[in-house]
Amino acid sequence: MNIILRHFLRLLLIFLFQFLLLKQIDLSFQNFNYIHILVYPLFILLLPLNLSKYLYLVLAFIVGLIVDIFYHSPGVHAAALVLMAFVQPIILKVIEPREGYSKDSSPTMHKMGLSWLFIYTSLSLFIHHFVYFSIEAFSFIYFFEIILRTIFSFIVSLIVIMLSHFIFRPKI
Amino acid sequence: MRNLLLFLAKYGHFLLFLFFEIICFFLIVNFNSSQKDIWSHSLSLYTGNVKERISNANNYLKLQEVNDSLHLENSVLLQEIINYKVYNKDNQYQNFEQADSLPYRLIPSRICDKTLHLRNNYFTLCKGQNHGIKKGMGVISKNGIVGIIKSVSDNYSDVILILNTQSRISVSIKNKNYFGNLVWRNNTFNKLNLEAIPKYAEISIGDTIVTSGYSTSFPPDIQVGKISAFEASPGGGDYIIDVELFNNIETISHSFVIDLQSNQEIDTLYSSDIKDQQL
Repeated sequence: MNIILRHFLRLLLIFLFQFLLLKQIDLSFQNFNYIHILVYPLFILLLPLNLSKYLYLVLAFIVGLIVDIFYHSPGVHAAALVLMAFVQPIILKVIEPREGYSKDSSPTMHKMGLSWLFIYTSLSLFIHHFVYFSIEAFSFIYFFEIILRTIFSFIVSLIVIMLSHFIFRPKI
Repeated sequence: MRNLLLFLAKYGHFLLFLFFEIICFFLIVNFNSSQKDIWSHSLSLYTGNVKERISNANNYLKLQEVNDSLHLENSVLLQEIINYKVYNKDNQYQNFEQADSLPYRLIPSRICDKTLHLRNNYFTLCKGQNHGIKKGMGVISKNGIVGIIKSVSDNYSDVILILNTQSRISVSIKNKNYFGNLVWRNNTFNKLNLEAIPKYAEISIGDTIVTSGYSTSFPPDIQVGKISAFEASPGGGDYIIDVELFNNIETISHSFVIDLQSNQEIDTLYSSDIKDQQL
């Protein structure tokens, strides 16, 4: 299957999951309203590692804007996702394995192993969530609330993303 | 051109990132109501702060102008009060209300230059003949009398301070109707002597000294100072009285020149008197 088509279909699937299912789930009870599951960063996290840095940013911006359209929050998701895409190369450099990345590396369990994938996903996702909830509050007066939302949502989102890795077992 | 390309190759990634984030920021601030509110609120906080600083700086630059206008305002008010007192003393309040022109007119002026620690001290005012100042007019500040105009040029005038050995001003003790002359003998700053108060007068420390109004220079009832000490002079018929000035002459920077509108007649009377005496 063509690699572009594969990623496009993957994106569609992630969007369907995000908008049709996760967006409708209300995980708040009483005062506890800290869990918002966001899995769409998975698309960026699954892009091939040798992809141009510029393309990372452009794709993140477009995907972010589409998510914003569905969440009625123009710019918020896009800003967080673009920032995540920007720090992606830095994270990759930090957690680079001793033998380096091979030419056709893609960030999957199959290619890179579970522990590398876990660190890679959790670092990126945490940054994304923290930025997203900061911009959503837009003021560090709500710092405590931002931290709580970041941590709870991050944990749940991470679980969902890792589960999807186990279920679909993407190879490329 | 090559440098530009190198620059783009090196920082293009970051620039693209900034570009996207700026777009996002515009979207966030313009189309999300809560973020928009927070943004405009904090923006107004900071711009408000900056605006306040700018206006403070501007105010500081305008200080001289503001001072002068306040001084002018004060002179108008003081003029009213002085004239009112004059009319009120003669129970002619009705006339004060109806008068077209009031007897005393105040000319506000800044002090250009002053000497304070000599035996004969002078002020120089920044106004002169062109502004209506004439020789012999009295000069006061908001707290009391300052001196008498000694000489006038077109735009400046010299004032003999009351802290001058040549100065001699007719004063009275308030509510007691004793009259004397205020002179400066002991050369201590802000301390003057009151002469020619007879020994039978009942005076006490703290009595207020006001101008008598018996000269054309000063209107009656302008505060001058208070009695700080007195003793009977041995062998004379008068008290030796020390007067402490209300006015701190060292710090004043603005003054009012008193112009008595109807003084021409009195002046000619005085000068004819002097002529008679001389004859």
